[in-house]
Amino acid sequence: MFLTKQEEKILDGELGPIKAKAMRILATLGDIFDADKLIPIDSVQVSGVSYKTIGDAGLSFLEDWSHAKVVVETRMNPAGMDLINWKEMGISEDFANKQLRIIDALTSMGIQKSCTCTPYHAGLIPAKGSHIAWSESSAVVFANSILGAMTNREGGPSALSAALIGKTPNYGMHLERNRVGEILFEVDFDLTDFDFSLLGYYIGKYAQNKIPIISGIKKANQIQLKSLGAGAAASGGIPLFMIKNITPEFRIIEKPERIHVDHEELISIQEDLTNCDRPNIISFGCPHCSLEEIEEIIQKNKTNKEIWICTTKQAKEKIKAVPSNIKIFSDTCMVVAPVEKLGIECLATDSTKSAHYSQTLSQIKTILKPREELLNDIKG
Amino acid sequence: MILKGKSIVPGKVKARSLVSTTPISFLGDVDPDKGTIVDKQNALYGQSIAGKVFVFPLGKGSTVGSYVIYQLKKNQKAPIALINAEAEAIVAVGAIISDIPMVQGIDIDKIPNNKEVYVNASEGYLKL
Repeated sequence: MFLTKQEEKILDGELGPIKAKAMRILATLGDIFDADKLIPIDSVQVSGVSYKTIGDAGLSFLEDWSHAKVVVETRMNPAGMDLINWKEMGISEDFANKQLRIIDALTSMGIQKSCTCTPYHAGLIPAKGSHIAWSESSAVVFANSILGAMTNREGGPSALSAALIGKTPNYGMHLERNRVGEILFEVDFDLTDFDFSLLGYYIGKYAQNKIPIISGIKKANQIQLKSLGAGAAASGGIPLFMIKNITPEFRIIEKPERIHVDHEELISIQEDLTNCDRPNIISFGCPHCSLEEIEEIIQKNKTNKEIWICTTKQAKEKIKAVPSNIKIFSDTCMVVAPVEKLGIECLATDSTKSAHYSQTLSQIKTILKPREELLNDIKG
Repeated sequence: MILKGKSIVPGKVKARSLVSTTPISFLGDVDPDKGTIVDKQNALYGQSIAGKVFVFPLGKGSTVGSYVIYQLKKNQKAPIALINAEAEAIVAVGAIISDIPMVQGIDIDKIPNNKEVYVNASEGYLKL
């Protein structure tokens, strides 16, 4: 990959050893993925923030890098706990101390303490056609497919390197020629809110690393599209999907392979991701709930079970009256929190992504149901 | 015999080889405190990668694997060099942040286990 004279000087240590390493990471990734050059980016979203996911290894790395400074607007992915009300979640002192050290290290690099998988619900909305380096998988697919920004699925260190240099290698989703739908999923029934999450999960499972196109969706709001993308990115690592009149740059190959989606198959995903029947908690907010979603949950809440809502700090601060069975946590989510150590054995959710990672990453059991059904669940 | 590849992290070292014929996920397959292989499916189960020229086809699994390589280095249990057949981001990033000489694009079938290997990662070749 071509480096400018200035970039080579950074590689040789002009801005210190950490920026030299960051540049080496970008240059090496550029070589591995056949990038021609580095391109400037507008913003970064860094993953690998939760102590649960990066452990002592990640903590020690981030502390060693903590005196380098980012040069573009950079946000954090969710942490393993609510940064203020962690005791209410049942988080241990040891976990909390290490989690706060990670946040301190990232903050001292100039990264904003806005820990969310939905930066677009928290004031960071990249422009159409702009290049960014985001890492949380549902944020990546939302930015590419709904906002029309351009980002690869970055890992923790590659996103951090991009933030320190302000550039990313030009490959993959940064090139128009790769942003083309290749496999068509045909839907011929009306989708409920919950169906969007199931459909996303279904598409991720069967897209075989191709960019999916979805037909038959005439209308969808941002919340439904957020669920769709999160499901697809959880089951299949999808970076981008194409829906006519929704995806800003609708581009597809001439004769894409076709897959007809049966509603029965979506229901079978719900059954596959359900393996318990008495939830310890009902959890919403994977990806993070918007302010409007929280208001609606509170309004429709009829259950006597405990509900945990995960959201952005901005949304949480705006909610004043919360019913006694509902707890609102910010900066975290049930995927990266140590739920398996909080006495939660059976988690009820309306998110395929949350159910998927609860079973694989946290190894707990789940119930997957539509939000309305969970809010009306008044059995003992 | 000289095997040519591509330099990822420069450096010149000499040590005995440890060869895995299957891909390695540093998160889960390797104990970051002891430097031993803890994946029971791997033929090298129980062996230490510390101080070895660690040869394997490519990395796999979680991107947190890069940090595990860093932790091995801090615990002085890291390999002295990393040799891969195929280009892959997790191991490359791990080697860069940990200053471990690394070469990739090597025909690793030609490297026997437990043999002294000279690694010139600056110029991207190995001498057996």
